[in-house]
Amino acid sequence: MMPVKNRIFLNSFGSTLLKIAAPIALILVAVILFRSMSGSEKEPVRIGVILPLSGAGSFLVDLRDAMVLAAEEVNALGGVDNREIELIIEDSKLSPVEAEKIFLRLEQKQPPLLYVSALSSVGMALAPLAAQHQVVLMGLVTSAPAFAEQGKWVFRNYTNSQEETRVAQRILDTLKVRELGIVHLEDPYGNSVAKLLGQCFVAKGGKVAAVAFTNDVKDLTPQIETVRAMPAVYVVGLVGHIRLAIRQLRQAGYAGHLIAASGAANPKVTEMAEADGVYVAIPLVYNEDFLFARQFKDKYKARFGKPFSHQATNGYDCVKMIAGLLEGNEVSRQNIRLLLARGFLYSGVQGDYELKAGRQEIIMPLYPARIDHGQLRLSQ
Amino acid sequence: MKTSQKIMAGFLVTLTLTAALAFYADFASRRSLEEAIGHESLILAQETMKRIDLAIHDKIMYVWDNAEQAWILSHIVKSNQSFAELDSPEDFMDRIDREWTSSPQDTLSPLLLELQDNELSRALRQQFINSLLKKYGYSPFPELFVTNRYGAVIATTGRTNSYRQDKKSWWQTAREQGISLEDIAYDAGSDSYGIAVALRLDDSDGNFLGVVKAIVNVGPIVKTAEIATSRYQSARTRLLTRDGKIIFRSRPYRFLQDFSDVTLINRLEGGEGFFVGNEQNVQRFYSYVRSKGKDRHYPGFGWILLVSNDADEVLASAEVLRTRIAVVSILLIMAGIIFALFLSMTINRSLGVLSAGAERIGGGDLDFRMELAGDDEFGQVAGTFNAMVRNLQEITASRDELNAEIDKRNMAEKALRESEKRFRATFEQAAVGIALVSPRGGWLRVNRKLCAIVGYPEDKLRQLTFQDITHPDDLDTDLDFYRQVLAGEISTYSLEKRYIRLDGSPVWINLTVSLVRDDDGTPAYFISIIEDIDQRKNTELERDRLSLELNKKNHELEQIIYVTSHDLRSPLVNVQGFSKELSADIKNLLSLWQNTGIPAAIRNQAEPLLHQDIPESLQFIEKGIARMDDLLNGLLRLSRLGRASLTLEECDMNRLLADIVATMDFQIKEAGVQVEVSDLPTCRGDRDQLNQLFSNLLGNALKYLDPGRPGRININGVKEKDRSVYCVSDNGIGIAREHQGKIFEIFHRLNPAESEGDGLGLAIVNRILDRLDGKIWVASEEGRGSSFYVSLPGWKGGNRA
Repeated sequence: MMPVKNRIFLNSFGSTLLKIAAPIALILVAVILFRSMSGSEKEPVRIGVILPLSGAGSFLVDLRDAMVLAAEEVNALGGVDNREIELIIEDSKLSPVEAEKIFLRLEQKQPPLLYVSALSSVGMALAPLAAQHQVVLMGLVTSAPAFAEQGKWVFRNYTNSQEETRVAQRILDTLKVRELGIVHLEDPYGNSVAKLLGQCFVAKGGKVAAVAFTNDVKDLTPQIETVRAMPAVYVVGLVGHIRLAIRQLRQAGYAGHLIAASGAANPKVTEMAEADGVYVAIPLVYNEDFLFARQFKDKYKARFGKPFSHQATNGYDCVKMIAGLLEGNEVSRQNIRLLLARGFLYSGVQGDYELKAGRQEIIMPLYPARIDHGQLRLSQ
Repeated sequence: MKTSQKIMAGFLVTLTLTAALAFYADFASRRSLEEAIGHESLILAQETMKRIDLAIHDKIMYVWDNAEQAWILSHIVKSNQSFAELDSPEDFMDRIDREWTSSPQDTLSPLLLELQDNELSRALRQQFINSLLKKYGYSPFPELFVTNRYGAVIATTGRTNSYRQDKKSWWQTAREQGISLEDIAYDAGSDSYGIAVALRLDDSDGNFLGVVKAIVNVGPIVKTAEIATSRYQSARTRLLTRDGKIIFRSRPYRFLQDFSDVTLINRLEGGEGFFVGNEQNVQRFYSYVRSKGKDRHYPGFGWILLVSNDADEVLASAEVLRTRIAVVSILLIMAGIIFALFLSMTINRSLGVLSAGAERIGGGDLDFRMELAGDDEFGQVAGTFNAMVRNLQEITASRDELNAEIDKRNMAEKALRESEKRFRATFEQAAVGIALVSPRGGWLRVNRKLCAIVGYPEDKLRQLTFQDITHPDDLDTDLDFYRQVLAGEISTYSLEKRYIRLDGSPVWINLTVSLVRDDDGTPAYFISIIEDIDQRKNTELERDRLSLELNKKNHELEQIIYVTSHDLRSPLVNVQGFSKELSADIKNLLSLWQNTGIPAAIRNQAEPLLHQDIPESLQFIEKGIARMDDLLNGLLRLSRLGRASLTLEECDMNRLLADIVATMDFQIKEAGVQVEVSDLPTCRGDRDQLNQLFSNLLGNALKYLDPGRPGRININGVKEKDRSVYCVSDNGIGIAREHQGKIFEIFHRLNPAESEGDGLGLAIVNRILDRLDGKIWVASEEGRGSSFYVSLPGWKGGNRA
């Protein structure tokens, strides 16, 4: 048994230690708690992200990854006025109906500040809901002209069908072809591009043969049979569709000019051997000399181990742009709409974005290019 | 306040001061760091601004260099020529301009479409847009168009807002000054924001040909410079016009919007600088620099480049370091506090042990020892304390001893005083004379007795030396001893000597002298004890004289005895002879008597006389003669003992007794006595005398045996100091107590009727022992036996006749 004297000594020691150490420990714990809580005392800025992450839309995983990367970078620097950006990412499965369900579920459970959607079909489905719930819907990889016409709550941040058409026409002018076969996705995006290009081409005295395919197409042979006689074929659709079309056209021994919509700028297409020589409308991010994109390219590759795409830069710039807009401003659905409506300039990875006051579109300019052994080369 | 609390308080004060110092150091280092970062940021801002200026200058020069190419000039010359052929170029231009400007905003007039697509326009687009698009990744010139010398647009890459430009100030300026630069603005023609650069184009002779105008897109230039010079992710760049309108911003912005943050804009003083400010509650490092242009072609517009970085990111590494330092500091402080607690507790415990120990020791428990392990100061203090306590204990013991010693000494002094007093009393009242005598012999101090002995008054005696009053016959002996004492050969001596009294008469004294020396051994004084033995000495002298006289008388007696014995023997022999003759005569007379007829009556009366009375008388006479003869022989023998010479030597008593027993073996065996002789010590004596002595004793033992029990005679002896004591014991009849004092007397016989002997045996023994300096005594119990003890001098060596 411990001697009484020692017990008293230890008790005294322990008591003194407790008296001194306890306040210090409490202060330390308080400081640690304060510091750990200080960054999370405000509600996060939630952005509902409804993307097709599976099936034919799985190429937009790049976009999701880039958005996550941007959110991480913003949050690492303190977020938006000490409010973290929280991305609520949902897979639309390329289904407008599924996207609507997601929207409504989020509205009911965890209403975000704004929504970001991808692809015209989904965007078009969500636009009415956005107007109904008075929440901004930012459409990425959404080119359908009608999308930007869905009211004041809907904004596009991508190229549009007109831009796709403009560049396609310019390529066709250069190629000096007078007959054109158009193979397009049967959705608002594909339909609009096909329609505008056809109109423009026909207006210049050309002849057009257009044929559509559905989103879930597995074989484009019938469509190819329709256009294989044309000296030039223009393909517009999602990345997977373009890959299929190019492969099957090459397999069918098509020897004419192949022109593809901007989706073909995605590495999943450019890396195809059959894509060599295909003309494509590309944003400037693929230009090796474009310093803005070069940094992001390296960063994205280092983070995700894969080459970046303009869909990825689109998502990255979108998050950074939204964060920049909100900084120093009231974070509310109404205010973010006002900030967008007021217009702005923003210099992002893709170059300068401009949303003119009162407009609904931030147009990503496209430039004619050609796939040359896996590389995109700007045309003169 | 307890020591541990003091230590803790001291430690906490030290920690507080250290923390304050650390806080100040952190504050100062942060300020220094901010200063350094500010300077670095400023340098980066300068570099960024320089790049922007250089890029804009390059674009201007690019336009200039490429617009003066011959093929472009040739197109202008052609246009000028065609315009020269017009009747009224002014009217033509007005008409076309009206048509141009009246076209709907979103449509292009046929003329504009024609201009955009003419050869020169395509060449310009290729030269200034497409090629640069590939080169830079963006188009530096959103719009570029060329006018002829009349101011009419002859080629354009975009959509100019009017056909006729000659009224525009920039056009006129370019024409007159060669170059026109307009600050950044929205260009409706190109629907972009940029600097308008207008350059005059001349032919080789310097003749004015036209003007080329380009819109320089500033945004990508700034962005490129920003990317090239930015070091932090949080970097934000703002390019402002000289009056504070936004040209470029890292975040979304509205072109030429007034810079809303008045707080910041107010701090942009001078050409350049840096400061720390807050933006949306975030601390940022700001640096700003004004554009200085490049040269006369581009002198700059005084734009302000404001670059800021999030302090958290800039100081991230420092913050990490600070955090680590803070954590380490806190841990160190905690460890320090714990250590201080431990230390204080340890010290307190040690102090407690020391304090408790001090209390116990202070309470007098000098046996208490502080048990503090370790070789630290406390251990050393405890050790020192223990050593001190041991010393104290020793000192206390010494003190006690000292006190005891003091007491002892006090007692001794008291005793001494008393002793002195007693001594004085003794000295003065002693029955003997006492004197302290100087080494030279002077009387230092004398007592009254001495004065009385010698008859001197004290003061007079003290003027003399002992030599003065010593009898001359005794002086040499005294001085001889005196010198031996002084020489240290003997420490004391005694002698009997004579002083000469004041009245001249001698007085015998017994002098005992001892010498007292100083500590260094120097003789201090003699202590002399003088005993007046004058009376005793005189008695002794008288005794000696009487003894001498007695010896003389004894000698004379012996001579008388001898002579008497010798002389008596002759008449005795005569008596004996005549007695024998008378006896023979009686026998003859009887035979005669028988032959003569003596009357019967007479016969009857005379015959008993002749046959009985006379023979019996003669028989008594013969016995008396024989007895007388024995007595005379005894006396002769006794007298001869006194005259016989002695040979004193070491006598082997074992051998001597063995011889005696052998000599008396017949009697011993006849008496049936068991004689046992133990180992006997030697002695000094005369062998013959001792033989006589022990023969007599053994003979007596044999003579007085108890017939009722077997005789047993034991002879043993022991050494006692310088003497040998022998014992001859028997189990004989013993000696009655009343006879024990007389048995050594001459002619004393224990049982004259029953024993033979002349009664001289023990007298002879006594006489022999007188001569041999021996003694004899008897222990006897009647009926049980006797023990005769003989004490003789032990052997010391040397013979004396």
